[in-house]
Amino acid sequence: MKCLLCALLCALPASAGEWKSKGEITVETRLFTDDDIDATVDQALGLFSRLEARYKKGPWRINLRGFARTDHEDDTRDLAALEEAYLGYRKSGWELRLGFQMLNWTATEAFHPADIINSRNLDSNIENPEKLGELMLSVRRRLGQGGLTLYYLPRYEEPNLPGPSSRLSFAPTGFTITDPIWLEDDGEQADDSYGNQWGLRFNQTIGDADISVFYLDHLDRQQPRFLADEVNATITPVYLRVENLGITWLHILGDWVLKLEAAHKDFQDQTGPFPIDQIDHTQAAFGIDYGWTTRSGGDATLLLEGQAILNTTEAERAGLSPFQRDLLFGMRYAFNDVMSRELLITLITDTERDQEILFNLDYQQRLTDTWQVRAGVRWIDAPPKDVQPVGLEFLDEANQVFVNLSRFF
Amino acid sequence: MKPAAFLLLTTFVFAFAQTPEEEGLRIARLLDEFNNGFVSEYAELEMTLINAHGDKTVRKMINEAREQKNDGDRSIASFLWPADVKGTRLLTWSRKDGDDDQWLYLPSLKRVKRISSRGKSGAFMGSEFSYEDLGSQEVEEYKHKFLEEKEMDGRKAWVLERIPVSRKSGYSKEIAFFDQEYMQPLRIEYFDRKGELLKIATFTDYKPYGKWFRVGHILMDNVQTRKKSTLVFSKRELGREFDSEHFSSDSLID
Repeated sequence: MKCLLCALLCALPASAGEWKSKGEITVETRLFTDDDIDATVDQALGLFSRLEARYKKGPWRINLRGFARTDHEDDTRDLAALEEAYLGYRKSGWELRLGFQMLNWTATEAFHPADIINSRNLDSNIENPEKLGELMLSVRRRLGQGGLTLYYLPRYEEPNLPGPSSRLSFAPTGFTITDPIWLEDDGEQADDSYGNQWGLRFNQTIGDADISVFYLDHLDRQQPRFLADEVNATITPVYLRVENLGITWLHILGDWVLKLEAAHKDFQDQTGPFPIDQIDHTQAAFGIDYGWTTRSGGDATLLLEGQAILNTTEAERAGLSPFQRDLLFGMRYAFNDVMSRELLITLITDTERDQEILFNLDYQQRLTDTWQVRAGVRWIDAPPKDVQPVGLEFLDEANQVFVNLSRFF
Repeated sequence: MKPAAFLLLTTFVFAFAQTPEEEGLRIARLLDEFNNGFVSEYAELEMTLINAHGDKTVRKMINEAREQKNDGDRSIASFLWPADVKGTRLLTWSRKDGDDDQWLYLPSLKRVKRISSRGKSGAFMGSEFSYEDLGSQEVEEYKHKFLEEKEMDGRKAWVLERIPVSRKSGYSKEIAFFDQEYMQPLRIEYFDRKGELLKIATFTDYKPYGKWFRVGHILMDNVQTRKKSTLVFSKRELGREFDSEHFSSDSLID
């Protein structure tokens, strides 16, 4: 990391450019309903900070961004993560970036089958987990009202999985998570976390629509397999090679916003020594927003989204995602007032499996120009139907209330 | 004068006299034509929100705009303050015909989100300015009607009634007072959907930039709620060069 930082700073043009910075410090509190398990921590008191610095001089730019979290009650939540650390050059319709980047390919709000390039911190909200930076070289050429981007990713970035004491853990009680196994093209286990991955993305604005198509050949971090060692009480995540072909499409029709996201995943057949593979499938999500301005000047939006995993049996898709055939109903209200008050309410319900519901209520407002408060409730009702829980059942009754107090600068 | 000649003269006068609507449209096009050709614009803005008790809150932003041939302007509003919205950007492609195209960049998520521009009547950052007030005011967006010529603080002005064409507008009509030298408004009175006076915008501190004039201070007074907002422009530049893809959605991402 220090070497990367030195390299970036040495790459700066000799003449002075413009530095900008910003950041936040947040006190995070969350309280889960008691699960009667001593090993898990039901209350959290954490400190989160994010710092960002940007440099720009002519066509050159450097972006640095990272976050850190420490939890007073659960030290397995402690994490320091790099989100961005790249050197960029943009000129004459070309843009090159080298370093860690965070990309966002999504069109929808809760289900993101196309937003798959960055690893995640999975000890956060299941619909929108925090992203971790991904080391890559990207080369973009502007074409029309969009562009074509080529990506090369030389490193396998490991997701952060919830520790055994986390209420968001999907490991059996008492099991610890070991270092991952990366399975390369030939099915052989990688010696380290370096290997060749690449991708291509084409995006365009065409009238009222924003469209993108992409191809990725990489190690999948969205749907790992797990090897359980009952003797040593360990769980080992196994990440497999996959080819992704996907599309996003967003269309404005007056007061309506229509969205579509889909990705087909073709996992490498495993012919090597590891007898473990993943099911090829297609993940597709749609979204419809309808919005209007109220008499008081606020903005109200009704949300309807859905996601389905296709080309699989019901049992197969239950194991692939907690949202394998789900609908989201939601409402967002922005008061557009001095305090920037916003309220988001969503309900996700499984249309295939009985009694699987995730309710979320999230409120935030500014207290002053630099302080903000955010509070909410999450309630999950997904009792296991079998001996082994699947999907959302891992988080059954991981109900929580949270209050975060942030200082921005 | 013989009756026939009088009749002929009267017909002649009425045939070539413009209706108030035609005269209003002529003046609106004159104003638009005069203000074309600036190529691009950069300005730093400070917005102050004043509630009914006199308490003040400040917002800061940068506005960049570029003229487009045969269509409305493209602009980016970059928010600098308050701290939690620092880095947020709103890209607008104004359309002469139809709704504007808009994208919102959310820096915390590194996400560019295309949004519906239907919320024109919504309050901008909690101020008394709506998105509609601050957007590009194309001639085609209104039905115009000339009311009178008037003198305001020693300056000659055209008074036009403007009725928004869009059903999504928050106003039933506007009465705009355009300075005949600045070719810009001195005052605009906004009427709500019930036809009652809602807000009055007062434009002062005009400065010359070549042949054009640009306002330095706008006061928006909501006469119904007694709240006010001011907009002060500084470091304004016309004709600044922008990268050819500066006003594209992909360029919003740092």
